[in-house]
This record gives sequence, C-alpha cells and structure tokens, in this order.
Amino acid sequence: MYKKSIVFRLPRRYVFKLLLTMKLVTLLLTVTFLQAGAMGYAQKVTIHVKKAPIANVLEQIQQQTGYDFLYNSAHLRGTNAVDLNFKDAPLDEVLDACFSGQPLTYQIENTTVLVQRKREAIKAIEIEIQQREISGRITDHEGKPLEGVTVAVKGMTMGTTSNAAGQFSLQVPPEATVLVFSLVGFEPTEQPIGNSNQVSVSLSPSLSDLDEVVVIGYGSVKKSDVTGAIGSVGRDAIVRTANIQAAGAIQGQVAGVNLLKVNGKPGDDYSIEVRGLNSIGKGNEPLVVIDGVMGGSLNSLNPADIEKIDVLKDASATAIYGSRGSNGVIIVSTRQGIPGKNRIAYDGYVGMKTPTNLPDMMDGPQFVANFNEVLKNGGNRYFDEKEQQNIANGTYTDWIDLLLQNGMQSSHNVSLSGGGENSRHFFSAGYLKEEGNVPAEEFSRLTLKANIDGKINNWINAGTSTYISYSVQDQGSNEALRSAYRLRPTGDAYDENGELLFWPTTSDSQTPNALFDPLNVKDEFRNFRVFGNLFVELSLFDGLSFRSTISPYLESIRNGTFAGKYSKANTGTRNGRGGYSNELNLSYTLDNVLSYNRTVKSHSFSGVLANSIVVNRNEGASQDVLDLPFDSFWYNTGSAGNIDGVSSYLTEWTLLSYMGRFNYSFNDRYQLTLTGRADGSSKLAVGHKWAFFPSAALAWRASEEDFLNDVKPLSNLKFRLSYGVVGNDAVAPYSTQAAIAQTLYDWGGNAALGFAPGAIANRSLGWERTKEINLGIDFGLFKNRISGSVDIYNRKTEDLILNRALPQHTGFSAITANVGSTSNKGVEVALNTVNVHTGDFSWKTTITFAKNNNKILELYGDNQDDVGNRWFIGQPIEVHYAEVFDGIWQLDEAGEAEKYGAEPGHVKVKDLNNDGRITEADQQIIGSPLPKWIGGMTNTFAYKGFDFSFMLYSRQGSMVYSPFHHSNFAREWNGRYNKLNVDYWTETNPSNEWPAPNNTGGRAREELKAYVDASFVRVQNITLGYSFSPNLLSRLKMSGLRLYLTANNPLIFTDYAGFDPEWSEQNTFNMGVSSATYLFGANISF
Amino acid sequence: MKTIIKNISSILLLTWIVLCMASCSSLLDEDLISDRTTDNYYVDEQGFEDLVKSAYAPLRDIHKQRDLVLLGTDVFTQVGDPALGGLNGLNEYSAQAINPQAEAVETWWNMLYTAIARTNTAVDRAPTVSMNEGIKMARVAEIKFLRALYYFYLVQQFGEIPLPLNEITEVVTSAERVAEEQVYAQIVQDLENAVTQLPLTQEDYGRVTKGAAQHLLAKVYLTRGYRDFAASDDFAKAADNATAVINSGQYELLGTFGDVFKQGNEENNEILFSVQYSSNTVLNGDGNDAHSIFGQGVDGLIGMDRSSTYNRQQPRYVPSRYLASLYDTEADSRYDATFLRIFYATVNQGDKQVGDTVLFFPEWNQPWSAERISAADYIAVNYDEYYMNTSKFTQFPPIWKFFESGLPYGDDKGTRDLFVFRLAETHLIAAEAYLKSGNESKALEHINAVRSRAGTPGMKDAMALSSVTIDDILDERARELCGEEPRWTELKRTGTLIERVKLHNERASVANSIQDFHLLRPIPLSQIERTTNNFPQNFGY
Repeated sequence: MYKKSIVFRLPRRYVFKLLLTMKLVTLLLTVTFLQAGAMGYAQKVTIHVKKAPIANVLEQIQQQTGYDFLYNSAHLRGTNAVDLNFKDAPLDEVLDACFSGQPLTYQIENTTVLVQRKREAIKAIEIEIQQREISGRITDHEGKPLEGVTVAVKGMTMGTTSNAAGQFSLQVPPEATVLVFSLVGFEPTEQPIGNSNQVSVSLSPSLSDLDEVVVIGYGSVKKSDVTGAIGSVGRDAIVRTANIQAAGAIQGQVAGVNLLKVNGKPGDDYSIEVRGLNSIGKGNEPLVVIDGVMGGSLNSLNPADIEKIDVLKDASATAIYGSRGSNGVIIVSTRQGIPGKNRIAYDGYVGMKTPTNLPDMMDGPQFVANFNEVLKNGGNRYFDEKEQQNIANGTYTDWIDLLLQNGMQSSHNVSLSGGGENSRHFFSAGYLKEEGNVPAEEFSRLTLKANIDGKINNWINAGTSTYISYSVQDQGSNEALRSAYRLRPTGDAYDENGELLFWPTTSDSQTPNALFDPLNVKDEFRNFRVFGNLFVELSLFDGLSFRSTISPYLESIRNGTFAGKYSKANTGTRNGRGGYSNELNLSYTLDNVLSYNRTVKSHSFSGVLANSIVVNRNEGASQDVLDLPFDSFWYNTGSAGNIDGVSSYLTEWTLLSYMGRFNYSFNDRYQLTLTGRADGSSKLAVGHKWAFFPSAALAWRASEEDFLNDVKPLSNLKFRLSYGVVGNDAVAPYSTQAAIAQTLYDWGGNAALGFAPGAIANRSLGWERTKEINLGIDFGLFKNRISGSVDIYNRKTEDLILNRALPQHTGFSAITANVGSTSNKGVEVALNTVNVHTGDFSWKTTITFAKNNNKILELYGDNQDDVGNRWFIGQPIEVHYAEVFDGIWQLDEAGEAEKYGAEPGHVKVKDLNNDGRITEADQQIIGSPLPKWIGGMTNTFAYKGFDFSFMLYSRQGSMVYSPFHHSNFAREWNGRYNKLNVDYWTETNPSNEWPAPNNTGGRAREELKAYVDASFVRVQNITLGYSFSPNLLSRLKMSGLRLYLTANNPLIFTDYAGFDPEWSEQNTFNMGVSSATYLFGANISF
Repeated sequence: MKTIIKNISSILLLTWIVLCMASCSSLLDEDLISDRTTDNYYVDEQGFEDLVKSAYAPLRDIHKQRDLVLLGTDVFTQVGDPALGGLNGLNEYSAQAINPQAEAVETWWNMLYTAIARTNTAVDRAPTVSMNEGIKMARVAEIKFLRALYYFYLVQQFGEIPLPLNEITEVVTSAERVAEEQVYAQIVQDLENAVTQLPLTQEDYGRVTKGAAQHLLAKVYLTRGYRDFAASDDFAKAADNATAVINSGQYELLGTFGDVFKQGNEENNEILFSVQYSSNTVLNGDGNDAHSIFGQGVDGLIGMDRSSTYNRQQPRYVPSRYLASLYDTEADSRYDATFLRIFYATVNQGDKQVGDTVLFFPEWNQPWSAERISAADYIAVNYDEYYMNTSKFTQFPPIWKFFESGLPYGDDKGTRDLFVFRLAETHLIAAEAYLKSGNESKALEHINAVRSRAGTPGMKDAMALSSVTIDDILDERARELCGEEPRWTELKRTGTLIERVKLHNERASVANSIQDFHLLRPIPLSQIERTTNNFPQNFGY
C-alpha cells in the first residue's frame, strides 16, 4: 500500500481520524451496512457559524457531543459552506440543516455518525477514477527554492519531496483536495488543489523550533524530546555577525554561557564558562566537541562552516561525557552535504577595523600642568631641554594617533555540497585575514573541510570528515601600545631631519619611541590543526546498530619571537634576540557505541552503551637565543652569540570510560533519561583513578495532555527535572607525583645544575565531583509566537581539586588537594517572540538572560577563610579584598588625616573598625569580577528582500582589578609617564576622586583606584541585508544572492575608562586596543 | 548468506570491544619520562649530588635581596632631599613600607625557607643514598653549613621562627615559633659539625670549605655573644674560629684593595665563600645585578649615550654621605677603589667629544667653590649636594667596585661572582671578638691588618690605629665591606642600629620613625594567614 516510506509529522488526532476514514472506505466498498435509522437523541447542540466549511462544523459538533464522525475527507470536496444558528438543538436537527442541499447523507450508529456521498454522487466519482499529476515549485519567504520539502496529499498516504530547485511532481487521485507541505524549520502549509495541475507555494519560517534536532552526544533527539538543559544557536545567528571567531558569534546567544574575549589583538580567543566557576584555580573551560571530535578548539573553525552549536549545560545533559563534560559541553556540528543537486556557495566579506572607545589621556598642556603638580609635591623628574622647547612652542606629540591605524578585515569561503541516493558530501575552503590597529599585528586563517559519508550496502554505513585549519597570528609587539600610552606628549617622535628618534626624551630611559617596536618585534604563532573522524556504522537488527569512531586531533603550534636591536627590550644597544618553540599535540578518541531504538505502541525506548578511550600526548621544545648578528628572526638561532635557554617536555594522559544511556518515552508525553558513566583517569592517584557518575532526568510535555488541549493560547508546555553527578580531573598530568625541579648554579663557571624537590606529592588525589539539580520549563504561547525556556539550577561541587596554600615555612607554597566545596545557583531565561508576522514583514526578538550566584561553601573543613588566597566562605571564588576607598583627604581635614599618618591630597581609606589606625583589619571584600548577570537581545526584521538585525550584549556588575589603572596610566604619579585624564587633587582643585600627583599616600592606596566597575552594554552587531528576488536570480542562474552591511561593536556604553571592558583584566603588557569593524559582505549560491 | 555475514560481523565486533577493554588496564598508569620524582631520583650519587646543588642555587637570589640588609642603615639610603617629603619607604622605617604585607619581608622569608627545605631533604635522605661515604660526608657538611647560613639570615631578621629540620612530605599547616636561643643552638650545632667534616679545599670552586664554615661559625658566636642567652665563651670561640681561618694558610689578604675587585680576579686568595655566577648565559640565569644597582643614571647627560661603558644604573642603594665621609681621601686607597667620581663622554654630542669630562665629583672633603663649578665646562657636584637636588637627584658618586664592563646596556645579568665571606672580614670579626673579649691589642692587630693593606703607597703605616672601639670596627667594616656585608644585621648585632640610623641616615632621621620594635621584621602576613594554629606577629606590627 505504501509506495514510499514517508514520515508524516501529524498531530495524533489527525492520525486517528485518518485511520478511521480508511476503515470506513473499506466498509463502504465491501458490505452494505446499517440501515438508516434516525433515533431520538438527548444530545443538544449549540452552534452559530457563518460560511463555515462542513469539516469545521462537524468538528465543532464532535467536540460538543463526543460523537465520532466517520467520513472520507475527499467526500467533503465541493461541498458548500453552511450557515447554522442553533441553540440547544437536537443533533439530528442540526445535521439535517447542515447536509441540506449537499451531496451528502448521514447515518447515526450508537455514538458514531457515518457521513457518505449520496448514491448518484458516488457513481460520478467512480467515473472519474483517473490519477492526475500535480507539479509545482516551493520557495521560502524570500523566494529561494526549498529543497527536501515533504509534499503529501491531505488525508492520504502518497507523497514526495522537492528537489534542489524546489520543484516537485506528484500523482494524486481525483479525490485529493489539499496538499500539505512540510519542512523542518518551516510552518506546515496546506494548499487546495484547484482545477489547475500547477500548485506553487511559499513557506514561511516556523515559529516553533520543537522539531529541530538537538545533538546530545552519542546521539540526537528532537528538541521536543529533550530532558536536560540545552541551548542551541543555529547557522543564521552564527553567520549573521560575520565574526572572526565562532565563540564571538555565539556570545550572548545562549543563556548561561559566559564568553569573554581575553584580549583585543587580531585572532585573540575567548574564555568560556558554562554556569559559573566550579573549580577554584583549575580548569573551568567546557569541553568542545566538533563533529564528535572531543577537545578541539573553537578558534580553529571558520564560523561559515558551522551548521549549529548546541551547549549542554546541566549534569544530566553532560553526563554522557562524564568527567570531560563537567564544565559543560559545546557541541559543534559543521555543515554536511544535502542530497540533491550539487550546490556551490560563496560567502565573503571585506571591511575595516577601526580603533574605538579609546581611553581619554592627558594632552600636552594637561600633562605639563600635572607635571608641575608632581614637582610641587617633591617629584624628582625633569624635562630635558628639547622638551622645554616643545612646551614653550606648544608642540606636542600625540603618540596614540601616530601609532594606531585602521586595519582591513576580509573573509572568503567557498563551499560545495550535494549527495545522491546513498551518499552525501560537503567540501569547503575558507580564507580570512584580520589586520590589527597596531601595526604588525595580524591574523590570518586558512580552513579546508571535507565530509563524505554514505551507505556501503543496506546495513553498513561509513564516512569520514576532515577539517584542516592553518592560522598565522602575529601578536606584534607587547610594548608598542603601552609605550604609546605611556610616552610623554612633550617628547619627540622625529628629529629635525624627519628621522625617527629612538629615545623621545633624555629624561626617561625606560620607554623608547613606540613606533620602533612594531618594526622590530615579532611574536608569531603558526597553528596547524587537523582533526576529523572516521566511522563505520552497522545496522545489526531492527533498531540495533553499532558504531565505531576514531577521532584523531593533531595540532602543531609554532611560536617565533623576535626583538631586534631597536626595540624596547633591547634599548638600541643589544643585538636582537630570538625564540623558537614548537608544540606537537596528538590526541585521539576511540568510541564504540551500541545503540538501540524501538517503539512499541506508545512506548519508545532507546539506549546507548559505549566505551570510549581518550589518549592525549603533548610534546614540545623551545630555544631562546641572544645576540643575533643580523635580523634573521627565529630562523637562524645557530648564528646567535649566546644561548639563553633550551627546553623540551612530554606529557601524556589517558581517560578510559564506559557509559550507558537509556531513554524512555511514553505517548510522547512522559520522557525519562538515565545515564551512567564510569571514568578512569591517569592523572589521579593510584587507587583513586576510577569513579562512577550517574544522572537521571524526567520531562513531561503537559501540553500534550487532553486537559490542556482546550487551552487555546498554549501551544507547548514542558517541564523538565534532572539530577546528576559529574566529575572533574582537572589537574596537570603527574600532579600526584612529587616531581623535581631543575635549579641553576655553577662551580667556577662550570655547570652545577641541580634538582630540587618541586612539590609535595598527594597520593590520594581523586575526582572532584559536581552534583547538579536542574528544573526547566519550555513553553510556547499563541501558536509559538512567544516561546522560550526557563531553567533554574543548583550545582554543588565537592572534593575540589585545589591548590591549597601552605604556610611557607614548609618550603612549599601549595599542594594540590581535594578540599572544599563550591556552589553555583542560577537562573537562565531564553525568550523568542515573533512580534510582527505578516506576509511581507516580520519582526522577531530573542532574549537571553543568565544570573549565576557563585559561592565557596567550604575550604579546608575548618570553616576558616583562606585570606591569603582571597577565598572566603560564603563568597564567590573570585573576590577583591582590599581597603575601602573613601575619597581624598581635603585641606580642612588635615588634622584628622595626620592621625592616620596622611596629608591632604592622599587617598583616604575607611577605618572600618574605628581604631584610629589603618591595619589589615581594615580590609574587606569590596567586589567580585564575576558578573551579576549577563544578557543578550537580538532583533531581526524582514521586509520583502530586506533583513535587518541588531544585537545587544550586556555584562553587569563585574568589578575588576584593572591593570590599565594600576600600571602607570592611573598610578605612579611621578611625572614619568602620561596619564589618564582624571580629576586629580590639587590645593585649588579639591577633587575627591583622585589623589595629589606624587603625594598619593603610597602605592597600595593608589591601587585602590584600580578596582573599577567593568559593566557594559554593547551593541554587538548591526546588520542590514538584501536578498535578490528569485526571478532575477533565475535569469542569472543563481539560486541565492544576498548583500549585506554589518557593523561589529559599533557602540559600547560603559564607565570603564581603559580599553574594552571585556578584557579589562588583561595586563597592559601585550594588551590589545578596542576596535569596531564595518564590513560589506555577500552570500552567493548557485 | 546475509545473516551469516551479519553474525560474523557481530562476532568481530564483540572481539573488537573485548580487545579494546583488555588493553585498557595499563592505559591509566602514568609513565613519567621527562622527569623524575623525589622518591626515584634522590637514591644514588647523581641524585643526591643534584639535590645538594639545588640547595646552593638559592644563594644567588637571597644575596640579590638587599632591601632588608642594606636600606635603613647608616651607609645606605635612598635618593631625595628629606625636606621634600616622600619619607615613606623601607629606608625610613615607614609603616607604609615595613608591614606584614611588605614584599621584601615576604620574599626573604619564602626564599630562605624554600632553601632550608632543600637542605632538610638532603640531610634526611643522605643515610639511604648509596655512594662514596667520604664524599657523602663532605656533602652533608656543606648542606649543614647552608642550613646554618639560611637560618642565621632568618633569625637575625625575624627573631623567633619555626625551625623545621626534616623533609616535609605531607600537608603541614601548623607552625610554632621557636625561641632564638634554640635556633642559634641549632645553627651552632650544624656549623660545628660542618667544620669537622669539611675539607680545606674543594675540587669544585664555590663549594663550602672548612674556612668558610669557620668564618660563619665565628660570626654566629660573635652575634650570640651580645645576646642575653649567650654562652660565656661565645666571644672567645668567635675569636678562635676567626683566627683559625686566618692561620690556616689557605687564605691571604691581596696586596691592594683594588686587586680584590679587579674584574676577572674573582677567584682570588682572599675569598672564603662567594655566590657563583657564570658567563654561560644558561647557567647564569638572571645573573648578578651588583654592577647596576648602586649607581645613578648618567645617560641623560649631554655626551652620554646608553652604552655598556657605564651601563644602566639604578639608584636602588645609595651610598650615604656618611659613608663617603668615612674615607681618608689621601691615605685610604679604598676611597677611589670604591667610588667612581669622574665620568667621560661616550659619544660626540653637543659640545662634548668622546673622552671629555661630563660629570665630576670633587673629593668629599675638598668641595669646589661655586665659582669654580660654574667655570667648569662639565658638571661638578659637591658632597653636600649628593642625591639631594631635585633636578639632578641621581648625582652622587656611585659604588663602582662591583662594576662589570662589557655587558650590554640595560643588562642586569652580570657574570662576576659575588663575595659573601672574604679574609678581610675574618680579620674584622676577629678584631670585634677580641675587643669584646677584652683583648684590645689583638683587636688592633687584626683591624690594622685590614687598614694597612688599604693604605695608599707610603701611607700604609699612617693607616694604623692605636686604639679601637666598636664604632671604629663598624666604620672599618663600612669602608672595607660596603655593599658586601649585610649592614643592617651588623648594626643590629652591635646594638647600634637605631642610634647610627638616626645619626647618619638623613632621610630616616628626618622621618624619625625608627623604634625599638624595628629590630625585628614583621612576620609575613601570608605565613600567619596560612597557619591554622595561632602564629603571633612580632611586636609593633
């Protein structure tokens, strides 16, 4: 009967009706059935409709009476709409009115109403039994052809799918009246078949993502079947921002994932935390799984190659990854081939990166005024003769302006995808280049990707994927930017002949001309990564399959450093120095997975049993040389006059795991997931290597319950509850051994290298355990016009692997031990709303919000704070503990100031215990760098071919100890360097914010001003795009063309005075400048 | 057929899984190839020798930490006219600078205890190591010398301190402060032991010898002799040990003071013990910085470039004017051998040609008149202006005896050995010990040995003293050993610290902060915070 197996995703009620209808047809054809006998009915019907299709009327009556109506929907074709107006009328009376003048008759049998064509009408149909062919074209809302759309005849079993051009053709029986078009990600659409044999439709994107597939590790499920806390970001959102790094592309788009750019140099990476910090001082980075390859790095990927990113957050979701997933799991699915015609696409952009939101430094006159204050306060710096001339002439140097430049940014990506009956393939090549705003800083990346998989026969499936990424990052000089901000505006960059001057003044011998470093310093990384997998999958019996995957990951990291003679490091007096280091990291994961799926009536089961081995090997070597005779960078270390250091290393670790997962679902309403994983880690102490981590999760799709069927606004409601334990072995290999450490000495010039005890061995170091409970609600309202999820969690980490500080009289500063416990409690909200949705115009909003409360519960079991490490029970893992800034001592407070050994102009600190002295007791916790909350909002608008979006990202309540503030730019007021343009105290300017230059009350007090708030709201991205109409494109033989303009980080709102608040904790040595990018791009496909 | 294939594949599959699992049992064993552990390395001669060497290595960093031993004394200070303020440094005993969180204090504590842990490990492990017993005995003696030296450095600064004497292999979070008397007893015991076991000379230059141990023992006895827990014969034993070194025949005072500091002559006969540095950059690590921290920057002056000629100088330890005033500018060769008073142009610039005088300091006791200074075509700075003038605060004659020529500009990785003990000091210890024992003639004999050697040609006899006091000895130590001796502990030992600081360190004197409690340093806050039992702070902090 089935010509082709087509999976219908139809509501259960519909399926039921369909089955009944088919039964009815059979009955009609074989037997003459019951005599009509209208009996009296107690059932009363109230109905008021105008021009209602009969089907609707019957449905309403069915709902009121509970009677079943049996009919072939084809028979309703050609019936007239009816007007009915009854109140508490008998059923038969209403039905009579309804069928009056229609080619239909009805019979009532018990509680079933049989509806059939009048005899003569049936004859007419029999004459017409001839199939006809319907064909057409399916496009999306932008007019692009849609491939893979399921086309079915409503109420019947026949169907087909559309090809790459969006075209389909289907043989339909004459009674077919309506075609149903469905595709994941689009609203199912019904289209009546008229007299024409041509039916073309345009599908609008789905408002609900419940049918989306979510990758959960060693398998995937529909979003509606998810039991844990999982966040997803799709390709559109990733590509929209035209970000260099995949991590940047998902920033602010998944609640509970805290991404922070670590620095602002081209190619710089992000740090990632999922649901707060668990470990103190040990790894909190989530596991990254790229196409099943564990332990990869997001920054090796070209964002254009990514199809989807799923983030597993709670302990139940991550349980299958066991200890590797204890800090969350980020699963990246790269793009795969789609069966059909080969499709070639080009995605690219080009644009400009420009410095933005720069710190406000003193200009020349401001610096001189400040300098005079410094002198007044006992300063011992001076202006040399040339500087004095410059001041007299009013000619100052703007070092920042001299140094900074605009950088070009471009990306090009070409892909080919396709496939046939039995195989799929995807190839892509990408090239990206980002120039820095400081000369010499540059990043480029070349990526190549290939995927092939297919059926070898009807029970063996095999495939491979390979990703090659080669990147070159020149971090340039670590000093240039800092020097430009430090140098006095009174110095000179050029001499009278226009030649660059190495020393801008003779009054300072610390900081040479900032323009030299970019020309003479290099710090270049060449990273080569190859990873991928090779799998074989056997379908053994019904529902049982076995898959064996080997996933190697090879990484070579080469770092070359060079500082020439005319660099800050070599002060123009020493020959250049070079460094060459190489790391070669190889890891592979071997997974053997047995999967079973079975559905029996309303029960579906699936199970996974797996064994996984991870072997990791890192080795490397480095050499540093001095006194290079010429600028050979690091390519001729043998020519150096002196060797500064050579070293090499090898570390290896292994993780062995056995795991199982059992999913059970009843009636699609109740879902259960049980997971267990046993992990053995080589890094832990003998006898403490193995641990078992169980988890369980329950979900209830309440909206599928009958009693909620009538709650019209509710389209989806699901409750999720999970509990699980995961482990963490985040210590370096060999940590449980008391390794020795090399020492340097000599006997009369001859080597006397020694080995000192390097650590105290911990022979009982075991797993750190995290227990987490998660309660989640997924909801959809008004046909999913409003949908979202809320998760609350409580996570407790015990047996922390902690660097426990030891009193130094032991000779050791710390030991790695399992002590203490921390907790993270939080709430995450994801909300999607479709604000406007008309044919031409749509406006959608996505909001994410996450708040995490991090706390140390216990440290060493004695309920004592560890003040030395700044760990306090009941407080976040990272806090600032310091004296409390209380303004500046003013002239009229001189008497009181003196009691504290201070003078007017000094920083005033709070005498917390009022003992008349400032001691250690006057320190307290003044803040934490951990943000109070993080939120993101994306608005997307579409009007005809235009799309417009903007994204806001905010991180609030983070107090940082800002190196920008404490390394010279707002400290050390002795006149040596230029300063942040702040309101400092003088006798005539009683500022209460900043102390008197060169008389601040001491370094420790000056540094209190470095504790600053780094909250911000960033306009992350604004994009305007236009997609050309299919009509035009078909003439150009193109299937898609979109042009867009995008701006990244065009605006930021923050009180932070340094560079970007996001990397406000970055040391000023090696810091990157804050910047915005403006790009023009194109997405072209054929 | 298909079923058979399927069955075969199922069997292969099972075999595959079993194989995978079977191979796993050993997968989790750690095989540490690139490194060794304390337990598998300190078992034979190689391992033990390397452990001993590692106990020497901290000598470098410890002797580079000069804040606590030089600043705030009579002969070293920091720049700046006290009238201009800024008296908030360690040199001025400001509470802002000397407190439990002071970096200098914590560094001193941490690096010495780290070094002591190495010596303890070596002492404990020695009995189980299989190697030549004679060599082992000498090595243990070296280790005991080092342990004694490290504890001596600690106890003088901090007073009552924890006294671990064994290797620590487990978590320890409690600590007790042990009476100074007990610490001194341990130091004496280690040294007495070392003196009997150590050879007179060592094949490896730089290892501890019997002479070095006797010198240190003499100093320890001398130091304890002043204390209320002194043994009655401490001064006598100090004198005995010092004399034993002097009479051992191993060492002699070189002909001139200048010879002692001639670059390249670091391994001379006057040296008992020195911190080793090497011209091999790998072995040299961070190197010796003594050439660059007693000076002052001249590279801003016209005619001066940034070159190795004078290198980059940082005025970290500024010789006080009192120090300069101690020298007899005619009779004492050490005045000119210690200070650099004339700088020549290193580059043609302005009106200066290479070799022209750029900066000159007249002898301290023969200042130039204002007319003469303004008439000179170079800068001249008189004694009363040293390091005081705002616009040229760095102008003072720097201590130049440690200077190393040939180093690239800005390079603080000096390669010259740093003297810890030399025979001149042994004489001065002997002089002090005899004086305290009431034998002034013997004391005179020893102090005059040093003074006479220092005399300029024809003036050797004129240098001789006819009477001697503790102040004479301290002044003599300053002339002979400035920058080498830990001046702060010398003054503390003799009970003259507060008085001399107030008299001769102008900045500390104006700040007037120094009090009795400053004779002990604050215990580092981290030690107190990390100790689980009560660990009292020194009084006053």
